[in-house]
Amino acid sequence: MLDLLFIPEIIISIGIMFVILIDLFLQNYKKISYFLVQTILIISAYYASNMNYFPNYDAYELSNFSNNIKLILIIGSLIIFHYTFIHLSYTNKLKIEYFTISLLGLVGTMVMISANSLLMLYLGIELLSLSLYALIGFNKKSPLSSEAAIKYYVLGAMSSGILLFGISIIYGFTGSILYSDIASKMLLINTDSVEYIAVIFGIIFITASLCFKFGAAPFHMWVPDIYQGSLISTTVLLSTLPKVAVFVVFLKLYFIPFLVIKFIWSDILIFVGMLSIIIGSLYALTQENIKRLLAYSAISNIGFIILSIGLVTINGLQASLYYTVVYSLTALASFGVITHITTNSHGIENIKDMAGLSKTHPYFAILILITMLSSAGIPPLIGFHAKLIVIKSLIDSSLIILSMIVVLMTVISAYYYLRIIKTVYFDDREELISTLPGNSIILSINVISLLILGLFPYIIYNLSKHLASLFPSISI
Amino acid sequence: MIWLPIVIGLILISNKNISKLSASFITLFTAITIFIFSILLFKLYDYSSSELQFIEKYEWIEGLNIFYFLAVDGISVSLIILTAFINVLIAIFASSEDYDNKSGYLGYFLILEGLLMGTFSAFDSILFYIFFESLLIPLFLIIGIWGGTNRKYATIKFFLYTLFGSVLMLISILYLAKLAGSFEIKEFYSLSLTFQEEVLILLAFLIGFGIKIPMWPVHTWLPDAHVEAPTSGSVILASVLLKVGGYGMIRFILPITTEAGIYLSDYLIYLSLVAIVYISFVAYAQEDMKKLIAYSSVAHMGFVTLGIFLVFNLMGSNSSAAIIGLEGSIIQMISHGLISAALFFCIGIIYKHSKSRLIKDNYGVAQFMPIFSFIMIFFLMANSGLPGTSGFVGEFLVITSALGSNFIIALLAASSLILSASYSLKIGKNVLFGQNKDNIQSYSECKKNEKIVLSILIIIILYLGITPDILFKLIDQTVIDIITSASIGYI
Repeated sequence: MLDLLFIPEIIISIGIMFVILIDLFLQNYKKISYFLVQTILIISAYYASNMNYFPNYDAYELSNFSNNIKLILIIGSLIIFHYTFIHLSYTNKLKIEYFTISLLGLVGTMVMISANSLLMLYLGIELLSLSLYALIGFNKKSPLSSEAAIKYYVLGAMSSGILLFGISIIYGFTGSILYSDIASKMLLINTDSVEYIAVIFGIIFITASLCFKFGAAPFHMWVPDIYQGSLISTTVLLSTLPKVAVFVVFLKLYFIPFLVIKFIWSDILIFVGMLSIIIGSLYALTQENIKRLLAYSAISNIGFIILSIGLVTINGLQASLYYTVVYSLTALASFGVITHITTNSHGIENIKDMAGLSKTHPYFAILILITMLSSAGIPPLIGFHAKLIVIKSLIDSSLIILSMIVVLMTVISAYYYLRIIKTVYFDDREELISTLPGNSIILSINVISLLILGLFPYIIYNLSKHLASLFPSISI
Repeated sequence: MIWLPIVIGLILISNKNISKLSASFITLFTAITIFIFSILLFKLYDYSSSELQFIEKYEWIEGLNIFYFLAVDGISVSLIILTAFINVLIAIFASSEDYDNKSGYLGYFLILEGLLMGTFSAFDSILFYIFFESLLIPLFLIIGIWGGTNRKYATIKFFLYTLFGSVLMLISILYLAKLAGSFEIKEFYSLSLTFQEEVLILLAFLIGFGIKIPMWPVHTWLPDAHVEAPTSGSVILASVLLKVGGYGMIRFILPITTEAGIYLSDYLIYLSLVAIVYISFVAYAQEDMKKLIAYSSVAHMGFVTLGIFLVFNLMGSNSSAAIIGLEGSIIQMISHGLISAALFFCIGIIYKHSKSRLIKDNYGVAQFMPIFSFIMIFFLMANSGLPGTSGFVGEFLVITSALGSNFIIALLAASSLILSASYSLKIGKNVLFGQNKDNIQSYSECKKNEKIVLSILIIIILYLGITPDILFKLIDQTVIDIITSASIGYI
């Protein structure tokens, strides 16, 4: 029983209180509190990777699979917090509350991952959303930030309502909120009965709400505004952690309780995925603001993930895992580069702010080159392999037309990544541009890993295969 | 051999402080080393066998059956030597050029060289695709950073055009791999596809490689890219990168989609003829020397595609003519690689003096640079296919093979000899021997290293023109093998 004290969620929750307390007394030594935060993460990472006692609870999953995903999230947070610290301390907005709220969000994602019941899932989502509302509105002086926070709050509350509605329908007609119970009830439901139709409605409500949280089209309207309004460090957080968590939720929800009626949700997911890819690629073309652009690029990347889940094949599952890992790594790198660059007056807002970077900071220009080419899916970078595997699983499922649309969209999206490279390399400088003080070692490792993993793609491939094999019940 | 230039290139790019002199020296040294390696490859290659040689094969991505599979056959060897050779010339030529951040410039060329070697020797389709696509990155940067005024438009057009073509190719590769259960190119040859599948796959490959070669009507990126590229960039683009398309056609389209190819051969041949005849006229109308040579490249690559597609037409009836056609197109690729490289070097030299590529701005160069003018007139003659130069051999073979199929095709193809002579001589007459009336330029005789480059090219072009045997020996077995395996698949 004592072992349970050391699951990452609990370590982090206790750590949060500890950090708040310490911070009260050490107001002037924020660095200490920051290192404490990182230490907590490292400790929880240690326990997440070394856990071998898995009690069997109905509503809460503790397993190798969930622990591995949590480990990925913790490592991601370590990197995000590093970028955040550099960025906030440069802009004099450093407050330790930022990190504690982010940690709460991290706990929320972990609850989502471990949830084996619909209510637990809802709890996790709310915990994550609440901390995101606070983080988005963190930049109090900026009207854009407040607007974004309110927008996200109103829309998020509505989508939570929809989620609860869907959950209650499912509960009403199957009599359970546990995934495993629902799964066994689903087998018994007659396809002509009212229950069947009602459950389908419930699934559609839940899917819509989760797609909103994922930022997938056609529920993507909030994404660009909120990415633009919040601090760049919040945007990094927003574009990585929740996506991984929602991805796992998708996986568990669809492959455990609702696998029986896969022909219904698989079409929905394929549609949502394709729409996200198309909208993400097309809308990004006209964006001038770099955060908005990356927001649309996030939408299209999400599309790839959802699309490959929707295929309901082992290949698709592996592809989506692969893509999620690669996407998080790439998103971290691309936002990381942007957090490190600043003009004299403000951070980078528009693409043209980066003009001529290659002449003053050739090293950073190369980092941008690598991340953007990787996002565009140009070999030999890792982004190519991710897209390759998704397209391969599409073709293996004989969806040739869809795969052609997908590759056309890749070409279109290559244009706006190229535009960034063009600005960085070929345009002339207008305003003085500089990079943040502090070392860029973690950033460099992050970016160069895109290249190295691209040359040795089997590393992530094996990882995703390993994860997929840990995933509890795949019987497709 | 692939990784050496890439690694040194990366070092050159990342290290800003290398002085121009030492950067040129390192590049030259690397290029020469690679060239020596490729000569060794050529010497050790066993002509009498059509098997793949110097095989290197490791499992790369386990679950997906993707291999790191390098090997060479006759066609690869010839193109690898061409790549290595052109890169040595570029290294010599660029040593007297002056760019900002020169070590980066040369570094990208070395990376490009490594990737080209990889493309020509990859026998796993995904590996081939990766090399093929990666080629875009260094070239994109070379043109974009060191190019002319309109470079942004040209680079993005070039990148998106080729990316578009290659993603379609990727889909058909993946589809073939799904059927074959393996990504090895050789495995694709023995697949039995339905006719409809074959046609679609042929079209996908045709778009992919046709853009790269480029064929009419998807050639429009080439003149833009050429005009904006720096001299060495144009050279590598014309002489080696275009050949990747032809190489891909021989490697993929010929053996895999034979049946569809036979069905569509007429249309494919018409496309090539349009490239040869119509583009020659377009070339004649150009005011800009680089554009003129770029269009002439398209026209000459028309011969390459003509030779390849004639194989479809002749395979059943007259296989010796088919062999001649294919050999002709390969030799045409090599010789066009040499000649276009030479012409772009020459234009680069003129441009350096007069700062203009327009014909009307450059008159009477011969008064100031007699030796250079002699050399350039030789290259222009070679470009128009004068017997005795290597340009003649390839075109002659393709035309001979066309005669085996249809007199009209041969006639139209042969008309290019006159057309190309007309536009080549247009440059010669105006630029070299025109009346330099008002704008007296400060032309001066070319530097020593430029002379070395150009004279090596003259020697090689003449050598291959007079004794093309050496090339024939190299590619003979491979070509015969490809054609027999393709026709077996057909029957």
